Amino acid sequence: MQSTFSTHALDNGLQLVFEAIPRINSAALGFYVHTGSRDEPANLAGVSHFLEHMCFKGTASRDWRQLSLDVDDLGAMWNAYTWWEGTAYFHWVQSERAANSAEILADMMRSTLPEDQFDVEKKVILEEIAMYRDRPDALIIDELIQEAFAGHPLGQSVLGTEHTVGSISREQMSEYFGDRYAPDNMSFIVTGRFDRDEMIRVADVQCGAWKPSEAAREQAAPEFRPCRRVLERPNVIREHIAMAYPAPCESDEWSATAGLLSHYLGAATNSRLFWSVVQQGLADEASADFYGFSDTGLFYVYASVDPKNVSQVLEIVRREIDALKRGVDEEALARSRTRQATALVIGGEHGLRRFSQVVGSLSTGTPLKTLEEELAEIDAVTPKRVAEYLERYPLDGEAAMVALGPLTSI
Amino acid sequence: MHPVEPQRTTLNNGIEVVAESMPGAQSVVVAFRFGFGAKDDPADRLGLAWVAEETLLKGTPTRDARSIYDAFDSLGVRRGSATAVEFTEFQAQLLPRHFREGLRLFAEVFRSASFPDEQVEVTKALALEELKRLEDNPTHQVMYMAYQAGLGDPMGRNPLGEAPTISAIDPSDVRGFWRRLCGPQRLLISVAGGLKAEEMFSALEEAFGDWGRSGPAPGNPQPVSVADRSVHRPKESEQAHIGILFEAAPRGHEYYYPAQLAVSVLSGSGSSRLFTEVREKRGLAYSVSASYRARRGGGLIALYAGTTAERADETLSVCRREVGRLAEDVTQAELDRAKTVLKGQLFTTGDLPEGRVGSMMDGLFLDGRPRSIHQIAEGIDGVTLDRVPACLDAFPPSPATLVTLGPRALDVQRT
Repeated sequence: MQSTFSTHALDNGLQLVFEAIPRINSAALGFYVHTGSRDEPANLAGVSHFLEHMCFKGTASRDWRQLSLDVDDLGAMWNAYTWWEGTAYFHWVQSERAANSAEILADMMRSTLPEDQFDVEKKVILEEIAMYRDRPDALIIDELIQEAFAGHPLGQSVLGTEHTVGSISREQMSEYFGDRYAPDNMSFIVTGRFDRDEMIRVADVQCGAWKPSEAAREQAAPEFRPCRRVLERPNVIREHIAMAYPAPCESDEWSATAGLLSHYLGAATNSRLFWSVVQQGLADEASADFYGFSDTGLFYVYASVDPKNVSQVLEIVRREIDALKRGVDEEALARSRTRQATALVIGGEHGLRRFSQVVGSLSTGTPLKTLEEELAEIDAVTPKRVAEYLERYPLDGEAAMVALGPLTSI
Repeated sequence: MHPVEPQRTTLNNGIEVVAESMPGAQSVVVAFRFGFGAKDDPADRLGLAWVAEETLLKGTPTRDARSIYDAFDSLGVRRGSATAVEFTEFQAQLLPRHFREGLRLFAEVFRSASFPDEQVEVTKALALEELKRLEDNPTHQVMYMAYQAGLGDPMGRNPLGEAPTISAIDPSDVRGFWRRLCGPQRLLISVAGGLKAEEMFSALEEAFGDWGRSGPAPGNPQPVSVADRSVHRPKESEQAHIGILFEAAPRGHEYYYPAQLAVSVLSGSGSSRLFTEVREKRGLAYSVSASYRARRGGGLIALYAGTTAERADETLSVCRREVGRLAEDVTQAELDRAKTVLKGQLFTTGDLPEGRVGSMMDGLFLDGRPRSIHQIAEGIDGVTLDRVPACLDAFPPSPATLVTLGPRALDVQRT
């Protein structure tokens, strides 16, 4: 609850963002790089994600083995993730080890992309691509975004394909790396309990000499493209259906309403779709979500259905979405607000969750919000506000839709 | 650092409670664990405990399903529940000011759930749906298969049950099951967060203390033993999915912490052996891991690897070699690092009420004694290098069960 933000900028443009959470004894810290699949030339599809892996493979002062030994010697929990708009690396450590963590993370950001590791790691990526093909529920959002924003860089796949990843050369990656991993295109984030002055000192020593590149993302806002695509996969058992409608971008004043409305419609429990689809035994999942990007957004609905129930489920989903126009139930909306607000308060004490929240804000150009500000936004979502939202972002036009499963048509 | 020790009490009617007060925490987490689960399903009604858990909130004599869900949501309660082989658990995270009211709701449903016919039918349909969903998640599917093949019946059951036995469940079976097994004697409660321990205890006493004793006390733990088996199930998947299961020292045993550290040397950090040998050096898999799994009657180590079919034989042989090598050549540096990694996880998650509740509940349920973060850290620190091979000597990784799911059987499965 008592979280406080502050920022600091190094001369080379690296932005430092701090959020202090006084009660806890750990810190989550790491780098956000403003580069993702939408920044890739089409022939290098997947390079951001591949590069994320390579940042664990060696630096001027540590080979891959030494890097992993040094991280483990801190007892840090760590990971990294790449998505359409960004790449993030983090450690979650006991507070007194945060400075050592920061040094290692900064070192990783200057990877030497070791030549002898390049082809080995490429194989790992190809395994990861194969793994996602066995997980249709995890894969389908990427497929849907490719369709909804086809022709625009945002519609590029995060993982890339066997073909594109297979043909990326170390030189191509190196050029992309030099351009995108520059201090004026990155942020260093620390949340939890830590010594702010010490963090600034470490960042200055480790990152102060990095050269800015004036990297930019100059893209017109993506245009939403309605579509209906059936990806026939005979070895998939369920029919996985994803659909989306246009929605505001994350920094838009209407994004909190989009988020709450998706919760009202399709939260995992006690939502409209929970009672009308899942609790009728028609699907093991029928959910809704809001995806806010930096310059657009999607109101997203997903269902995992027995092929024989597809038309019935789609009809019910359609009916539930149409019903929103006639007004939402005031008490049910209030319960959605309470649940989301409670989740935020609980997450406010979780250093890693706050770290992800800050990353989300930075990647979408959304001003940093304290917990209190986020709670106030949720509080302001009334039935009247939902009605206004639906006038601005109606859910009755043509959707973007992808179905993945055994059916040949739906 | 956490100076706090878990505090224990027993409610009037015998319910065992463990609590940890975390001053300043913004939430409270409470877990209710009943000592019955899939192992108690009749053989021709597999899935019964799961159906009971999923239908519990769907009605009482005075409330219908929606009114119960709405009541929880009005308090902003984040709920979760799960059916395992040995237990059925319900969890909630909520703001401290709603703690008493939240407990009252749970007490009401535990004691008076009516399992309406039509709601049981819906849950049965959902169980069948979940079974089919599992087919689209071969990573999970192969591990369920490994437990089934390795531990047999009832300890290796998938709590979801099987299609014919789910269909055979009658609503009266569910009501009978719950009435017979659910009572205070089988209930353990773990709670942590931003209330004083006395406040937690008094609220629990108020909500549950007058629940009369009924039903049988929990029986003795059932021993687990892993069969020497190999099973391949053909599946037109992209990857071959490999699951391996073998025994390990149980909770509470003198070799428990050595076993934890052996698993940590094997998996669970960037420098661990499986990650290094399978992924970093050879690029054989994106996902490879081993983890310790505790049952009341024994410990298990479960290993998973997913790799494309043509590399599956090599992946298996590297995994097996690493498991075998554990008894031979763990170094002092590796052991020290494994200790740092385990304690790092312990201390970073120790701030979170949800982390403490889970750890205390496991302690209470599995060895009758919840441990503080410090006691666990001491247990980890106390392991000397000679204990690792001694532990693997006492609990060797064989016999082992090997299960594969993928386009073709592995070479070792074809002889």
